[in-house]
Amino acid sequence: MKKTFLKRFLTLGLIAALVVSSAAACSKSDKNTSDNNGSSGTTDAPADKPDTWIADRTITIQAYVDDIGNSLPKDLNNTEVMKEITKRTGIKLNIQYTPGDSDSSVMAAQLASGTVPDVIVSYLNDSTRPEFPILLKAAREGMFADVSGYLKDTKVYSRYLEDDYLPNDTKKNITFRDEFDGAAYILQFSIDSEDRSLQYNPEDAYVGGLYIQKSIVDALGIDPYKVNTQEQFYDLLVKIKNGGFKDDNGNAVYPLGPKYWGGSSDTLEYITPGYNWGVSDGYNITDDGTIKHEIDTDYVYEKINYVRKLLAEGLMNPEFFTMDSTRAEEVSKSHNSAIMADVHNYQEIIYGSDDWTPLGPLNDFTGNNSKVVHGKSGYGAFAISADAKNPEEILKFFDYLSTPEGQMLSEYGVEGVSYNMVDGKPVLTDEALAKLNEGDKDYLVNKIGAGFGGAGFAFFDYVLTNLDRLNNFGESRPGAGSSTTFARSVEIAKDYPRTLKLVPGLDATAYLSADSLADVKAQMSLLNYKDMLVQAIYANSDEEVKKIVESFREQLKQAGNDTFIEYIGKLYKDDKESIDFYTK
Amino acid sequence: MAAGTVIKEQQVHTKRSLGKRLLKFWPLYLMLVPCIIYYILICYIPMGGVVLAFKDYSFRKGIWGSPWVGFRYFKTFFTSFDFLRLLRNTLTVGFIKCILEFPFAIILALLLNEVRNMKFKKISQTITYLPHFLSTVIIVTMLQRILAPNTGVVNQIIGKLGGDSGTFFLMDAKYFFRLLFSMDLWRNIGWDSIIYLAAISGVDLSLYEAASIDGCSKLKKMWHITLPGIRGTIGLLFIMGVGGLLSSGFEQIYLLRTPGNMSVADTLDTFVVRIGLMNGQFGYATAVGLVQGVVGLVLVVVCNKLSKKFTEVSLW
Repeated sequence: MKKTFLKRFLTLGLIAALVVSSAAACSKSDKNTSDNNGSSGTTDAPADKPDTWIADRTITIQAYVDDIGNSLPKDLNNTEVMKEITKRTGIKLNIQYTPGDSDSSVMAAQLASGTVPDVIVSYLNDSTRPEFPILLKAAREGMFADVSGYLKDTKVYSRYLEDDYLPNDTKKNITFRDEFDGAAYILQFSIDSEDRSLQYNPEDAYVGGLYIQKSIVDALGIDPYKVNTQEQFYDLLVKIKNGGFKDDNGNAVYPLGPKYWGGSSDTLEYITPGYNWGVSDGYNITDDGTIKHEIDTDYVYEKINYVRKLLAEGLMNPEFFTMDSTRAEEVSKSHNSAIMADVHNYQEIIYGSDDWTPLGPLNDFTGNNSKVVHGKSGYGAFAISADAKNPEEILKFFDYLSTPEGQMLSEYGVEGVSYNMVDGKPVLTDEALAKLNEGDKDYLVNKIGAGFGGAGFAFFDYVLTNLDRLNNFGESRPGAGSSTTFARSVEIAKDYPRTLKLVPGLDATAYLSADSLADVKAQMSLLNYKDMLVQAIYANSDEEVKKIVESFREQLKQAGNDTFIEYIGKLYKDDKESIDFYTK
Repeated sequence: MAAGTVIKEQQVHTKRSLGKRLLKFWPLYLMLVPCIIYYILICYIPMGGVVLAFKDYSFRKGIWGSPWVGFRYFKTFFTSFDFLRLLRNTLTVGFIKCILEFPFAIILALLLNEVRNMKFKKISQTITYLPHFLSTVIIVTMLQRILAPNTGVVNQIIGKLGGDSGTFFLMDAKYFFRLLFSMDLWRNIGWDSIIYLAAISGVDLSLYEAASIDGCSKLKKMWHITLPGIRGTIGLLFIMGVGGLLSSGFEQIYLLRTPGNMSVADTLDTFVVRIGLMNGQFGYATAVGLVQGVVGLVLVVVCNKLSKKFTEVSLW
């Protein structure tokens, strides 16, 4: 009897404990939620508010940008920059970041849950980015606030209403789509105040693509700038192989190694530009006006066979397309790759020493090695939740950040603390410059919390627009004028200038988001042309290559390629600048 | 006498109505409540989400408010050029994992059961269990390094033996299933054998004694006593395993995929993630997932029926 009573007593105790702990867990999460919501509301402004005052509120931002997530300060609202921003505008920030397989998949999952905090910030270079269809769906379904009515009252974003200010893609496909009927839900960041896409400025130019070890250049006595054709590139690789060069560990170098950030099929852009038919995501137009995909031309075989030859002759690292980022960094740093397939002058491996020098670039299929640019462009984007209280305050906040005052604060920090004004331009203090050169994240991110051109808290470098850094600040990024860190980067850009070529228009595949092409898009999104190329490159025989290529041709056809070509054909006929086709 | 009492009590219990049993054993049933709530909340309520397979999912309107599209996604999937390839790959992976690998854990358990040196037995068990606790990411990264062309251990050994050290195992479709089989077996064999070892420990020892007296060899005892003794466990696990025939498991396949082996490494699970999470086509992904689930259920039911008919072992 006693035993039974004890059993029952214990059982009841256990159950009670379970119920209490469950209830406690639920009530805790409720409390968190209410805290967040509660802090988003607006409260009265103090009597002595400055002209820049917006509202005493906390804006909750969900960032789908890994650079922002990876550089979040430990105590965001207590950095020098945020304290100053709060003093001037009343705004505090609560920035959230959720790591995942990719930022776009995290965004898809979170938007699908139907809840958006006050604002979301996302990558969005143009409407071909994988994030765009998700953002567009959310905008169509009314998840974002229409800010078109507030734009005219802003200091900076009002420029988005000017006729020729926004890039064509931003205007037609992202912000002011016809279907939105004048409403504006998604606003892009990083729009240059003037179109300088055809101006090459070594002070802030990114020189990307192939880089070769300088010692090998010297030993072979070649001019890396004059290696421009696919044949010259092949001959150089053969020379390197026969040269018997060794890496830091005494092993033979691979003439061609993967890109610095890890193996990828994207690198074909740099190693086989002569066999890439155009820049419109595989599509282009023939001289007689026929639109085709590259798979339906001979370029596909020329490209595959060229790389197969490099692999067969041991001229490139067999893991060129698949090596993980850690190992790719390893083989680059140990000089195991005589040539890195892709890196740029603002990567430490390049500016940190004189070991590497740019190679080429190789000519494209027209026999020209100018870099194709598409005119003005944006970089990221933001959208305000339809449920956010007073969305105009949120827009005003982003607008403030992009004013000259806001940009200075965002990029350089607080005057007298991290920079001083000299001849009307900001100059980093000695301490800030030293910390920037050392890459002291604790100072740059946690103490000051400014963007520092991407070296600090990336958010404040990322969310600006109407950019004109050289005119506004006298330098392309904080410290560039006085820092020794990037001296080599600028030197490279000066010594190896790139020519630029304007090809207006969007990649053809950007138009797959049209309503009438929904089924085609669903099928086409399952196909990956570059993956097919790599698969064919590693095929065991030429017959297998043919089989893989033919199979892809058939799959593309079945996916509705003809319907798609007909659609873009009409678009292109009406407006030659709608798609970035170009011929020899 | 005691045995007779137990049997009588059991008979009484089976005759009692549910209400009476609830009253008599209420503390036990009460303890079951959190478990039932857990299954309802975590397993059954989310099942309502399969309705997405028939809807054009709207972020704003949610699952129930989104408009119906009927069988559109199923039609798209069954008529897509990828359908047969995905099905073939998924079935192959399912066959490897559920059927081909199935006997190995039993064999290991039988072998471990015969080991008389307890220290050796414990060490062997620990070594075989360990891989189960390694994350798939770590295992695949190790595999990438071990199998790397020229620099990987395997290729270096091949090179030393005079072979071609440049074989890119992960880029060649013909090695994919072999690698998957080896990796999965190495990882799970020890862990899966635990349940069989537990079942073996329940086999009546007097049967072995009797067999020894009759002059049975170890192999015969294994064949005629141990295996029949754990037949029920084997049957149950097999039936449950068959349900997973159309589920290849996402993580492992996704990490092992390269453009070179894509033709065989693209399965329904990776497809669901690709179209659902990466392309945001939640309805389509749910429809494919539903097909997997329904086929799995049918397989379990059929297998259970056949097993009940021929071996008298069944889940229900």
